Amino acid sequence: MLESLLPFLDRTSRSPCAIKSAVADNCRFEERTSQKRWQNFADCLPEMNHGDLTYEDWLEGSFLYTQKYLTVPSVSVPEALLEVNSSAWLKDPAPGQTLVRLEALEWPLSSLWNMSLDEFMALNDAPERNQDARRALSACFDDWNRARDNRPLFAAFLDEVEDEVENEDWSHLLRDRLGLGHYAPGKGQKIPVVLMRYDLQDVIETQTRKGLAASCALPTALDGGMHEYFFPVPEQNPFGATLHLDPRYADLLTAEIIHCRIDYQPRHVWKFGWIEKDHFLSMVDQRDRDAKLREARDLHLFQLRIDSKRDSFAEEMVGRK
Amino acid sequence: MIEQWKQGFRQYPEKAIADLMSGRASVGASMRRDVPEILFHAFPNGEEFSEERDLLDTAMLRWLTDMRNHYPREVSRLGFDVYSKRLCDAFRALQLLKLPRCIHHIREVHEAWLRWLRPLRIAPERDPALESWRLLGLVQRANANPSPWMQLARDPRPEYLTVALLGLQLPSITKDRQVLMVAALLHHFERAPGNIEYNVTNFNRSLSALRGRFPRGPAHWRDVLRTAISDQSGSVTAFSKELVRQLDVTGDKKASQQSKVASRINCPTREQKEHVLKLIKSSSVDAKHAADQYLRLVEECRDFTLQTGDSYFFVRTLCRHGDQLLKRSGVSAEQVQAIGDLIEEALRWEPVNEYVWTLWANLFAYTGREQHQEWVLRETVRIFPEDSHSRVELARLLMRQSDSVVFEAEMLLREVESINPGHEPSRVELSRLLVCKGREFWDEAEQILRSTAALNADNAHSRVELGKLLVLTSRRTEALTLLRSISRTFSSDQVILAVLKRVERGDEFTIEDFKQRKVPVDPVNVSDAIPSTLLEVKHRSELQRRYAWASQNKTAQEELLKQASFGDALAGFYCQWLELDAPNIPSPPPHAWAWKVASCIKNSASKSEWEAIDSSFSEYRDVTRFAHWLSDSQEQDEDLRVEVEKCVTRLNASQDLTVFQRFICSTWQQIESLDSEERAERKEKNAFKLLHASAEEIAY
Repeated sequence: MLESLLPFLDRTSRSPCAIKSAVADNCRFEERTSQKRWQNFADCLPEMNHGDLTYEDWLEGSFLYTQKYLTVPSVSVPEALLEVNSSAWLKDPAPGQTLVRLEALEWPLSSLWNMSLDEFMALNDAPERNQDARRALSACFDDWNRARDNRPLFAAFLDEVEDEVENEDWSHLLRDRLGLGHYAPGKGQKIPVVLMRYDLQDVIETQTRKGLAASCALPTALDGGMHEYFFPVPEQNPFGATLHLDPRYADLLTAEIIHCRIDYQPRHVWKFGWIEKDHFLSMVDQRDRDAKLREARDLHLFQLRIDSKRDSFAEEMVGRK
Repeated sequence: MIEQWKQGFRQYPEKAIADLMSGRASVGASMRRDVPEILFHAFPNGEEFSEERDLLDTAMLRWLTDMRNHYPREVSRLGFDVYSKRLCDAFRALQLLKLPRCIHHIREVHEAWLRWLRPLRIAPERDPALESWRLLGLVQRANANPSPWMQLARDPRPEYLTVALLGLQLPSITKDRQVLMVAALLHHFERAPGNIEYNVTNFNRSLSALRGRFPRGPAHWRDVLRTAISDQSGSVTAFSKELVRQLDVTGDKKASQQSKVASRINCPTREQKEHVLKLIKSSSVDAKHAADQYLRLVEECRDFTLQTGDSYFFVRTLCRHGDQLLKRSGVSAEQVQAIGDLIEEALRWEPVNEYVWTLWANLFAYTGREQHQEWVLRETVRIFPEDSHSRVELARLLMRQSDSVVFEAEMLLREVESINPGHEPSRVELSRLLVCKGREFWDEAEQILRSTAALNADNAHSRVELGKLLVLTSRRTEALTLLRSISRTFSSDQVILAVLKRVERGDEFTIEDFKQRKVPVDPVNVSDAIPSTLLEVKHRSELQRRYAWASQNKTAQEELLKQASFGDALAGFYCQWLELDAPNIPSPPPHAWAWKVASCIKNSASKSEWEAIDSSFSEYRDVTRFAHWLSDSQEQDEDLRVEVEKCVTRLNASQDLTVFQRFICSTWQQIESLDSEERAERKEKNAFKLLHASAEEIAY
């Protein structure tokens, strides 16, 4: 962490708004990010004394950083997979493991394929002998792959979330377990989603084909972790740990990684569904939400300390002055 | 958090949108989603949100306009990657939200906005122009003209074909639309890189995907394919022949045989077309009546195009018959307007057809709108690097306008000599120009006229001008001999007879007799409004004029630099070629090919820099290598030469060449025939022409 950023982060971590505190905490407790990456981040902040930064300045800089270094076009490599992030690379990932990842489909369905989720599911379910349908599906995936940028993908290991995936309400359970709090559709709305399942081998092959320095890394605050549902892990942890959106299960830490973008293929599709319910931490009332969020993060931290045997890692939110 | 942001939005919508797009908005984890999805869920389409969506509509339009107006500041702050990403996000948000005011505005200004958006392409998924097309495809009106989608389908990039097919399947997928989709596949794959067999395989795969997407019985799709192939009867290519052949081989005899029968929609027959042509040519038929018949015929051909996607007969009839019609006086203002509209429509189908451009220039000449004629001629000169006619016409126009643009006219006429040695009209015009320029140029003028006369035994024009010049230089006897001799050969030529009469009468000739005169035209009161297509042509024409002046005029230089600082690809190319204010020329946007190549040429780029251009612009691969070769004036890179030679051989074997491919072939041949000193000079001139023609995409 750059010294110049600490005064802003310390100040913001004491904010009465739990979300602001959480964002500051994510940066304060981050242990894997290299100085060079923080410097790249700082270069995206407005040109001013860092001590005078406002929260909005920070957000703006963070967004610019994300767009410059993370959500890069398909002709570039995201910073997480460049040498500058080698401290967070996942060394020698075992190729036999199966990964899962949730993808939202609003834009592809509406703007790319011009079809409903039901139509897309029907196409996906067409029998192998229906060559026309298989080619149509394949064309849809080609179009989708061409329309996706090169941002690193968050993924979890299937063997950890099998119970959720098997459940009838899998889309919400998985959303909560993986800490995907941004999938909160709001009243009367729903998000079409697809669960992708693929082998780590697919990721490693993509890395080899594209000549990338790394295939996987552990997510840091700078890899899309500038929000309240992310929590960094101690340096020695082998993986990232998702923050459960239901505090009743806060002790359930799920390993997560980020990896290089792969081209999706029809065989990667596992399940379709909808996210139509908000989650436990997404209520509108700010006081309620802040209290619940602090509790959830503290419970998560409690478990994280146990798992990593680092009793002094990070700082609780409740009772903070 | 999003609710709190929305509270601020209701008070200050434009600020809230600017904050959201810049990431400054405090929306918590929502920012993990992309901006389009955040907006889509924050402003769902429903009665209770209509007021907010209305505010959003205005705010989004304002944001887009600001991004355009503040291009230099935003690009310098964000870099091209992020600037382009934010524009793509805005267009993708509009695709989801379908906000009417934004859509209406974008439709109105799309041609001008494409000039801004096209060079910002970074990758298939980061191409603001493509996203703007996708938006317009998704919100098409019923009965919208399919020409933009058929045009997009011709682009070799697969993502453009995807958007073209999307545009063709909306607002509803009818059988006619399916036929157009198959025609779009035909247009795409017959131009795709790769050999015919490979392209036919890919066509069949894409057709299969269409069938899978819109499942119907085999007979339905067989009929669609048959109709699509038979509809393309105006432009039979090696690709379509191979498709028909494969249908035969695969046993689908019925389909292939049916494909040889007439199209389902009746295009006017050859007899009908000839009949109208006769009417147009007949002086006993009133011009207005002839024009009515012409318009009816062309509109029928156009309707055929709208339903089949085959523009061959429409464009051909428009130009061939139109050319004859404009030789007659008496066409009404309304008819002129209707012809103009059809020309613009034809350009949407075939933007790179020199006959359409020539007809357009002629139409403006017909109504005496010289300014408009100049815009069109300048664009024609730019797009068609080998077109002599437009250069001569533009030179004539410039010579009529003012003495201060004579230098440009002279440059154009001398250029024709290098493209088309011995071209009689340009040589005669050049000699007239030289006579007007001053006594010290008369020897050269005479030399040109004498050599032209020697080259063109059956042409009187050069001899008449020579006769006039002989009188001007006090050689009346020689002039008389010459003019009497040609008057015997061309006894009905009124121009020769008039000049001969004056010489016999003892009249003196002055340089006024060599000046261009404005051609008298019938007054036709046409609308002064400039259609959007012409506005773009005007913009490019004005830049071209500034380029011509820039070497001697500081204001012209400043204007070019200013336009370049806003990412204008043509202006940027001019600045780079002239090396204006080097090294402070603004950075080219990522997809300004000609601008970047000009920079490579002027800065003697390394091989790796050329390779970088090559890999970034796959659709320009042949042209990039050719430009590289043209820039190699010392001819040191033998590998490059071999590569270009192979490319030329491949192109020469192909039947369907684009205007650039034709230029590559003819330039190669021309340069190969020159000695080494001439080669270097010719190479540089041709490099300019090639880059100039590609500096701004030709699509309307």
